[in-house]
This record gives sequence, structure tokens and C-alpha cells, in this order.
Amino acid sequence: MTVSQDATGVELEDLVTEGLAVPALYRDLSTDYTRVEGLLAFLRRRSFCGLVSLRWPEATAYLLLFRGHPRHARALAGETILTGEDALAFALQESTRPDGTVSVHPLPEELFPEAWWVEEQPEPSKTPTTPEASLSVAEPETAQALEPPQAVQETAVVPLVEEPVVAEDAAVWAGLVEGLYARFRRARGPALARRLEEEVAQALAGSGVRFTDGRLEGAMDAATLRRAAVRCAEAIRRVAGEAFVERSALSILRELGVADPDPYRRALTG
Amino acid sequence: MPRRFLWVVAVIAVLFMLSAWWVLERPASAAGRAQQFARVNLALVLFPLLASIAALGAAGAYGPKDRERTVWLAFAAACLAQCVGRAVFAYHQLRLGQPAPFPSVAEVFTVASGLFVLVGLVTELGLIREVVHLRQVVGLAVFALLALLVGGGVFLAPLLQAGIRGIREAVSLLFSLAGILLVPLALLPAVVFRGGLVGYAWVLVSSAVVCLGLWVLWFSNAVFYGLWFEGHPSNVLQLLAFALLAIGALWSRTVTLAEA
Repeated sequence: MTVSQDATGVELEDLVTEGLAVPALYRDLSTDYTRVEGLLAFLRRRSFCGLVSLRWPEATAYLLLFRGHPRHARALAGETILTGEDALAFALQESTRPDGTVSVHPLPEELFPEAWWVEEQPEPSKTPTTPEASLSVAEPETAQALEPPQAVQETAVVPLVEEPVVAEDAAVWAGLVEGLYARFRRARGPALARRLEEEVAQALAGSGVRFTDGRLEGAMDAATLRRAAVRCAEAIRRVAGEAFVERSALSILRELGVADPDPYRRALTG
Repeated sequence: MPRRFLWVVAVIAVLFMLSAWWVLERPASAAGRAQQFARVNLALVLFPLLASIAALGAAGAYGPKDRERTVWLAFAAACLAQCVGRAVFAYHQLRLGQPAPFPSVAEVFTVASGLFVLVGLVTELGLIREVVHLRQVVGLAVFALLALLVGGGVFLAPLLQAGIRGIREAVSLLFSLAGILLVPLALLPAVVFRGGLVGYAWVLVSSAVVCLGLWVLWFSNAVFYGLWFEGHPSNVLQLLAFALLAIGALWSRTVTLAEA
């Protein structure tokens, strides 16, 4: 990670404060089931600009991402304040603990220091269209691909973690399940939402993933989540109609920053 | 809440208040009464038309195969039928210069309107039947019974005591019973969707059906006693029903498009 010398600490701290005030794109995802490295790689692919905040019972960390790359990091652990690469290393190391939460807040590019705009950025890679078969088999490799924080410290301009295709797709399916449920509940009320929750829970039966109060919990793989999302869409379609599912899915995929929503839409609409 | 929705609601509210004033004013002169009849008839044609357009808009928020689309199309057809029925009344009143006979061809449209509402409600109930609890059905059945007893006691007792003397009373009674029975059917979606944004649309639809039920009871009673006239206060309920239906349809469209 490189922190621009042109940006003052105050300026960046203001940006952090501003980011925290913005409605979260993802809010309070538990580190029990969210791989932060995968999430960061996912955001990098989408040239995301904004703030990633991580919280544990006794520590916090903030990462400012510009065009997908962490450009500023600050961590507070007890009375120790870490900045820059130390803070990033700390955040990644602690992110494997299950008692943390991670939130992502988008920020407009214009708010970031102008000096960062002109600095050359690596081209964001295109989103690969992952065949479904690969989703369920690659999980162990994903775990092996995690780099220790030390390796990240040595890297100059980011590549934080490589390869999280599996985590990325699982995150999208999880986002679809939770997003569809939330939209349906808001529109049609808790009685119908409870019914939907039961149906999704049935689709997840035996997978070790739980779906309670609209949140997925447990170790997830893309195939299971895909099945749950399809079931969720079917159940919503019966009551709220095809158009609702179609619009909701598109809107959620847009919020998730998915460049090519068609494979997901096709899977949902059968 | 979208600004456009609020603006349209404000316009409907203003139109309603103006129309209610037209209904409730009591001009002293014959010319004033003629003008009042014209304005009341205009309002009674305009409001179902507004509701019909709004219901078409609500249907447009759904896909071609969605059953909710059928529900709102049925409501749009019901409002349009009511609009045509009222136009027939207005034609008699304003063109032929005499009140429309009761029953007349306009009643065919009123019956059609009731049937379309029934189709819409039954289709909606088909969508939510899996989540309807027995206690909700029992509660609404009790409600319907109470409505029948109270409505019947207040408005229909004279008709029932005097017996059905002719088609006029028979049609009045039929309309009244249908009006009462539609109320619990319309309340059920509002109960099921409680807590959801679409639920508010159904609260408005239910309220509209309640207004129509009350209106038809009052209307039948007034017809029986020979007190019915263009500008009868019960017309306010009729106008309110279609205003509520229009707002409910607009809200349904707004949240269906915005929440997705």
C-alpha cells in the first residue's frame, strides 16, 4: 500500500468520517463468514472508491480504497494507533477472527485527493464469468491462496490477494438472497417474509448455512447460495411477480458492482 | 416518499374536497340545483375514471404473467364500468332532463363493477392464501357478520320488514349484501401485508370498499324511502371510495417500482 504524501492526515481522516456517514453498501457483515481478503479483491476488481471499516470488540480499522486499491489505513487496537501498512496488516490479520464485522461505504471519486487521480493505476481486471461447476470445487484452493499480512506489506501497489473468484460469486449470491429477502419484506410485510425465510431455509437444509432474520450465517459455498437464491426468487415470484424479481435482482447486482449481471439473472429467472 | 406521488395525492385531495362541496351544497334556486346536478354527475364520472387510470398504472408495474397485474386490471375494469354506469345516469339527468329509472341499464355496469372487484379480490386472495391463518379468516368472518347485522339493522331493516315488493327493492338489497360481503375480502390482503409498504395500498383499497359498502347501504335505504336525489350526502362516500382506490393504486405502483 502506498499512502500519498500529497494527502494530509487530516484530509484523509475527514474522508474516513465522511465515509462512515454514508449509507453502507454492505453493513456489519460478520467476519465469521466474510473473507475480508476476498472482499477487498472483489472491490479492487470493481475499481471501488470508498471506505471499508472493520470492528472487533476491542479494535477498529479503516481502509480507504481509491479505484479499488487501499490508499490509506488506520487501526486502533486498545491504546495503540497503527497507520499505513501496519494498519492494513493488522486489519487483515485480525479479519480471520470470527467476532468482527465489516462494512463497506461508497464514496464519490471526486472526494479523494486530487493527487491520487493522476497517479497511474493498474487496469482493473474484467469480471470473469465463472462456470457453476468451478464454484463448489475451488474453496480449498481459495483458502490456500490467502496471503499472510507480511506478504501484503511487501507489495507496493496492492495486489492484496489473488483469485477470489469463488468468494466473489458466493458473495454475489449471498447478496442476492439477503437483498431479495429485504426488498420483499419491506414491500410485502413480515408475515410473507417469514414464509419466504422458511423456503430459503429449506433450500439451505443440510448445508450448514442458516438463514435467520434475513441474514445468512455459516460457512458458505457458491453452489448452495445459488440454490437458495433461485428458491428465494421463485417464492417471491409467486406473490410479487416476475417483474419485481427481475427489477430487484438487477438493482441488487448493480449495488454489488457486478459488471455482467446476465448469468445471475438467467439463473434466477430459469 | 416520492414527490410525484405526493403531488398527485394532493391533486386528488383537492378534487375530492371540491366535489364533496358540490355534493353537500344546497342551492336555493332551481338553476343552482341544475348546476349542482351537473357538477355532481361530473364528479361521479370523473372519480371512477381517475381510479381506473391509477389502477391501470398499478397493473403496469407488474409483468405480463404476474397475477398482481390481473388484480389491478380487474380493479381498473371495475372502476371503468362504474364510470360508464355513472355516465348513463348523467346522460339521463343532463341530456334527457329526467332522473334515470332505477334499475336501469346503468345497473348492469354497477353489477359488472362489483363482479370485477370480486375477481380482483379473489385473484389476490389466491396469491396469499398460503399465508392466511385460520384465525384471520375467523376474525374477518365475525367482522362480516357484525357488518351485516349493524348495516342490516340500520339501513336494511325497513326493506326487510316491508318485504321485497318489486325489482327496485330486490336490486337495492342485492347491492347492499354484495357491498357488505366484499368488505372482509378486501380487508384480508391488508391484514396479510401488514407491516409492508404494499399493505398501505391494501388498507386504502379496503377503506375504499368499506366506503362503497356503506354507500350502497345508505343508497338502498334512501331509495326505499324515496329520499334519493343527485347530491344525496352518501355520494361523498362514493367519491371518497374512488379517491382512496386511486391513491391506493398509485401507492402500489410507487412502492412496487421503488422497492424492487
